[in-house]
Amino acid sequence: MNRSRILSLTLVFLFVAAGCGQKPGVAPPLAGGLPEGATVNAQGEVVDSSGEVIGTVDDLAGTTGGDLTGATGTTGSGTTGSSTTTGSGTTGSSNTPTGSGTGSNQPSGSESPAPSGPEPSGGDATGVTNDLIKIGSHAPLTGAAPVPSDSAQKGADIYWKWLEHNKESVNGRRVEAILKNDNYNPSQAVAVCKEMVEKDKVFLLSGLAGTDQIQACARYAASVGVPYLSAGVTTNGLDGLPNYFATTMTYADQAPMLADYIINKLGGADEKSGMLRFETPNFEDAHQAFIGAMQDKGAPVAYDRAVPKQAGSTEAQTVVQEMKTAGIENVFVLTSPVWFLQVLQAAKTQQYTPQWVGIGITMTFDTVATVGCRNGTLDKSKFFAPFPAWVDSDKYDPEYRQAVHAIYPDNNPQKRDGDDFVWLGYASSKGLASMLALPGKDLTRERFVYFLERARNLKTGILPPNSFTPDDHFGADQVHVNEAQCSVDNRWHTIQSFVSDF
Amino acid sequence: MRTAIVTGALVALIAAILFMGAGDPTGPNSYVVIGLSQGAVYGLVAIGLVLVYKGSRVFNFLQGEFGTLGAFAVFLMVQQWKVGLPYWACALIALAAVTIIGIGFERIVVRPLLNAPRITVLVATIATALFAIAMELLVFRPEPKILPPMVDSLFGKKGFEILSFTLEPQRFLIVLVLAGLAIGLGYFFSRTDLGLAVLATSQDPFATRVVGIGVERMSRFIWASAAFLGALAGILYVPLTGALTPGAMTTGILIPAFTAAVIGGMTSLPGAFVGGLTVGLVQSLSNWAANHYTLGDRLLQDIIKGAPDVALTLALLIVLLARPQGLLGKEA
Repeated sequence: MNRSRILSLTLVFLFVAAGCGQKPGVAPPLAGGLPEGATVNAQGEVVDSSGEVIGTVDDLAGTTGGDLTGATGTTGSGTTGSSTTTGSGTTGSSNTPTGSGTGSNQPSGSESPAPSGPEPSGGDATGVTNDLIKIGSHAPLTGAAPVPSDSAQKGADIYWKWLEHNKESVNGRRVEAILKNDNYNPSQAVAVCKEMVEKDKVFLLSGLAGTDQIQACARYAASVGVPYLSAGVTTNGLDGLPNYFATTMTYADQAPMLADYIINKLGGADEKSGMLRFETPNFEDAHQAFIGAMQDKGAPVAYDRAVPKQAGSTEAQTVVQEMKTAGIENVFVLTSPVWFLQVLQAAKTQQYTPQWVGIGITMTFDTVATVGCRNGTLDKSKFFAPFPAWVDSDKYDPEYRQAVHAIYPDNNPQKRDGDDFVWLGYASSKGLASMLALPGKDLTRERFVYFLERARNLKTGILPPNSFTPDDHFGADQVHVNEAQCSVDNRWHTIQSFVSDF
Repeated sequence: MRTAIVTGALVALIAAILFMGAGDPTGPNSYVVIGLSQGAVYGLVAIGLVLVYKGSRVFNFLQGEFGTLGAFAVFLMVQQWKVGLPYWACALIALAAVTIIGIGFERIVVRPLLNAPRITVLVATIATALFAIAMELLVFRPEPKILPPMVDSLFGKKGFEILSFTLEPQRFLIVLVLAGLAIGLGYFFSRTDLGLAVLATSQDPFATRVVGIGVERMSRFIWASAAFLGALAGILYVPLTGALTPGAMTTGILIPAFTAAVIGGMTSLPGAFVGGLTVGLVQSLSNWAANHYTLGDRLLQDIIKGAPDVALTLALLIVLLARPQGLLGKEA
């Protein structure tokens, strides 16, 4: 076969492949992300504001970059393309990943795993009965990154109650969620995890936020063979734990992305950038990753500052003075939210208004934006987050508000739609539901770990999709970008979604 | 005499630091201002601690919560209920309310323990502080609240630019209040009958009772004054921290304030003032030094983790080794 015939055949193949992969009239508007006013319905279809189906989630998946909302807060597609809302149907879909659903409805989409090796049968089914799965969570309901306890409890419960409300279950079982306060303290985290394992007899544990607490509790869980899921925080002490799974990107993985973001999106190549962090070994991987990435991009960090976890107002004023004197224009903050608020207050007093950026979970709670906007210089700050902003929840899962209205009816307009803690709890539970369904009716800790290690592309449409392997328990590679919009409503707004590259 | 010497030494030290840092934008001068302004807050809380210690020989772990409760009381009136009163009026009501709480604490907890070992009263203050924090969590929930400052401008200025550092009017007010309190309370305990009666009660309650001084009345006065001073510190300081959270003054201020009181001398009110400023200065300057000086090619902050805490511990050790009763302390 001569060269020209090979070339011709290749071109024909490419045209055919391109034609098969696109639906006329659909691909162009969705290639850059979710269009303005569009949402994803329970069937995984993308519908516009008039309710007309304009595509499917598959048309959105796989692309990267792009904006959900512009700087002015209006929606629109970005210049670099974007993967946006993926996954789907909270209810009604029967997208059972492992074929053992026994008639249950699975809440999220996923690709069928391809099990390798012997599938375990039986095992430890503590916390599982014929009609119930008991799970335990810990969160800082008090301490330096407080989550309101009533909202946190609602968040822990809402999705499971919503399933019951719709006469649905996880393979015939309802789920009971127990939530305990770790006080943003690793010792207390281990104590409450131990209590949930030994006294409450939970099937698995999960951690909402707080690096040191998650690490401490995950290590305890590993020592007693209990599956443990959390947001990705650090690999330090967690990498290699057989029962640990991170459902969002770790700080160390996000840090180089943040460096890209500063350089490519914020124009930081010619500006002075700095990093402000708490002095804990669990932030060291993220610290090194960020410093290295900035160095590689030819924009070495000009200010690298560690402060003790007990830092107070003195340290806040000191670092602000240092950064102002050094002319730092972009500041990556990796501290507790409460101390960050002190820094913002000090920055306001000193008329210091850098571009604040960061990663994490608790930083993007709306209470931080509300206080930071009014008392500090948070406006236009941009933070990576595993979950989209609460105000944008309708764009990702309209059923969330329906669930809140049905499960926690409240006539108070400010409480009617829940809050970001409820929203995060809903999203996390939705993801967990799809994971709990993987082993089918025969749910044991061993089978849960086995199937989760082989799960591919578990989607909620809210949190980043998860794919795990037996060697890699860190399952996410995408983030949302949330921006504090003080001039709009003192809340976080999502300006980019499901992004893995800048 | 000792007060003059110690104060003079502190002023000379500050002057030397300022002289060395003159003209250097990355030098320590603005950090001296940060340290002194923060030290004033420590001093304000330390004065309350010293007052209780002078009067009853008890380390009062509830002092921070008097401040937090005062701040929450103002928050309720100004932000939540929006009662329509001027801020200063709300602050006065809050001060009165916390003072009544202090009197209640004395009547319910301290009075029954009047003849108990002092360690028992100390534990009671800890327990009550934890109870107060729990109540704050229950009522106000843990998320940060906004408490605006009492004064936006002072002497017609919205900020005082001192050595390249902008001092908020309210922080300036704290310094003035602290200085006034140190002088006023110093006079009270050394020159007035009531002040002397308080001291006499702490030294020998039995003898005090014999000469006709009501020990219970003195105890009530001490705790009411401590609560008032604690609330004053909280109302003035919390708006400067960026957020009001349950236990804010206990978790953020109480330990440095205790350190200040010990450095200054647990029985000396001017000592609390000097100790507060010393702690603030040590913290701020060690923060600056840790990020300014290197050892080899590494910054000190990378070698000495928690440099401010290390420096403060060293300062405390040096003072206690040289003068166990503190810089200005003496037997009451």
